[in-house]
Amino acid sequence: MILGIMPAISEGFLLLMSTCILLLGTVFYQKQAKIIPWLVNFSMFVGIILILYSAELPTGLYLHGEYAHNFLTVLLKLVLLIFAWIIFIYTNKEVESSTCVEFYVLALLSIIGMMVMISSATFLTLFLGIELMSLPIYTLVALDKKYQQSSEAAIKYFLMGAVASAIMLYGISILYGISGSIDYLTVQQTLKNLLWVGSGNYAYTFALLFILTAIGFKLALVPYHTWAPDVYQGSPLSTTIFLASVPKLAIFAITAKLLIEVFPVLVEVWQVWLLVIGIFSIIIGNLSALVQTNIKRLLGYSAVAHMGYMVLGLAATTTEGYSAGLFYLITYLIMIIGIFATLILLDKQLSIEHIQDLQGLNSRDPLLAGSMLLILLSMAGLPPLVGFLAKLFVLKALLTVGYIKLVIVALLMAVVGVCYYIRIIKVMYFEEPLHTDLITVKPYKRILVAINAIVLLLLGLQPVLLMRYCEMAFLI
Amino acid sequence: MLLNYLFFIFASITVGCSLMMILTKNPVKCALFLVVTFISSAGVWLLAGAEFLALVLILVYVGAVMTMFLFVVMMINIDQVESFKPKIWRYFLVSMTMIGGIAYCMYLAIKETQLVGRTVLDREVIDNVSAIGMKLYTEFGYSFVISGILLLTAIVASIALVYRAPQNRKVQNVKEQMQTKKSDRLKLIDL
Repeated sequence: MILGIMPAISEGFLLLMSTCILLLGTVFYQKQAKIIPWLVNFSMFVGIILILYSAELPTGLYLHGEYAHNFLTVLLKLVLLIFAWIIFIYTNKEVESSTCVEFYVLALLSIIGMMVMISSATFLTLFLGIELMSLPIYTLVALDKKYQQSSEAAIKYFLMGAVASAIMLYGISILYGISGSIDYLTVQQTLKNLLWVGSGNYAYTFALLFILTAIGFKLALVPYHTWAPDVYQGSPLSTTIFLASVPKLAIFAITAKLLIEVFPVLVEVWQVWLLVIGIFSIIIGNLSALVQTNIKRLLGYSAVAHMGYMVLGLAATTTEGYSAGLFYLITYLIMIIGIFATLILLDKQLSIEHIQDLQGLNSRDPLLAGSMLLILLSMAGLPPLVGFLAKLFVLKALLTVGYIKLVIVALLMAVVGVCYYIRIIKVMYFEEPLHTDLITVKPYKRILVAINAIVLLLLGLQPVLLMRYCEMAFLI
Repeated sequence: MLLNYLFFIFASITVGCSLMMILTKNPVKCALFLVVTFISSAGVWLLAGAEFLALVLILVYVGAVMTMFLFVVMMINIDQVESFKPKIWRYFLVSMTMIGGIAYCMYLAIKETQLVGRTVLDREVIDNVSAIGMKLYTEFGYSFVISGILLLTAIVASIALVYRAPQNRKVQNVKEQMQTKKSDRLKLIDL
């Protein structure tokens, strides 16, 4: 019987550690203790090891069918924890010291929520996971009380997120009304049977559209993207790096699970939806990013565009397309974490807000500027770097299913994207700095950013290293 | 037959009161309409045979949550809030078209679909409370634990948001004192 909970051991350990940090935080509150970041590092490390351990266990459903355990969930959780660990290393000492404990506890709880989402096997755990992921993030956005913008961003994010959750819940309730069950397998079976008889098609489509709308909100795809730039801009950088990166993994997981496992019969419906919404995200995201002067807003709009590419990968509805989407997402997360990490490191001296704040970065700190250059070029999708390959895989998957016009539009928009990334590079390299003092950053963080950039180059030369696992995740 | 009439009475009260809750401008009245909505939906649940959930809804939401909510609303100065009167008519046309569209789609969707009735409970357990208890701690144990974590998150989050450390406490910060440089405290002005 104890074997039944073993796959969830990593979640359990993280829960234990987050409550420990919460308790210790009340004791060491005044002392600016170094123990808290160390505990966080420890828990992430052990969490990763436990995930690797659970990979050995037989796949299937656990905990009365509420917990799915297979290669996809293990891979996504592993990537999630590694990225979260990197984020915690970057944000170490950059979070305001008076809210340091709360930051780490809430972030850990949010990570538990994401893991619950990734391994959900019923709509109940799916919804609870989404809430457990989102609630701490809403709070993290508003955590810096001195900053007026952040409360505005938090309210916007909270209202949008709550509406999205309500919409998703409504869709789930319709599904429950038709099938009388909330677990993925039963819903899928009833759907298949009903379609065989020839009734219930409309109702299922209706429910599916509600769920897809909620997913669109959470991924910030085009008609529902309005919150993203505001939230990116309004929240403190240490929160932005968190909310801009890891939650996307969890939402990708549920999107892939729901579409592939629960609604395979309605593939025409969701394919069209994904294609339309993806291409509009690419167009509007890139065009709006062109005119931004605030770098966080710019990254917000570029996130919309990148998620559009990722969704197009899913819309190919082939194994190749799914793995291309996952590959795109993981490489995008490496880039976005790197870029926000650089901004965090520079924030103390330059107080980053606009693109112009990066003026002449090259002469003040060649290493950071160089890493940022690599990351930005990769985001723009230039050849030796992995951003190019990620786009290539997605578009190739689309081409093999025969959407040539869409591919052409996506390529044109990628060219538009290059413009605004190059603009940042121009400001960093070809403009004179306002001050000439050197940037002081802890050496290990500097090295980590450099490694982050080099990984992009390495993956660009050897994409098989990552692509192999992405393909394995969707082989059934 | 009587049950059907009762259902429609409760359902129309629910819909009407939730509409009124959105449309009224006075926050206290809004909260009271929400209370009525809760009570009538508890009635609907009673008719569906979920008497335990109906009682919990009244006890928890009406008894505790809404009372607290009303307290807060009454403590805030409402006159101030009232200057932000919602301008519902501005978006009337757009919203009504959207609601109409969604309602029509929903009608199409539900029209030809056979909805499943409520799931039948095990025969051995007769009353709702023990049935819920059995399910909660066995079949839905995992979800139950996650809901617990969710509540913990809510506590941490709300405290993190509203807690403000004492502002003018006169405590020495030794590290800061040691690291202070001349340039931090002393400002030279050219005269």
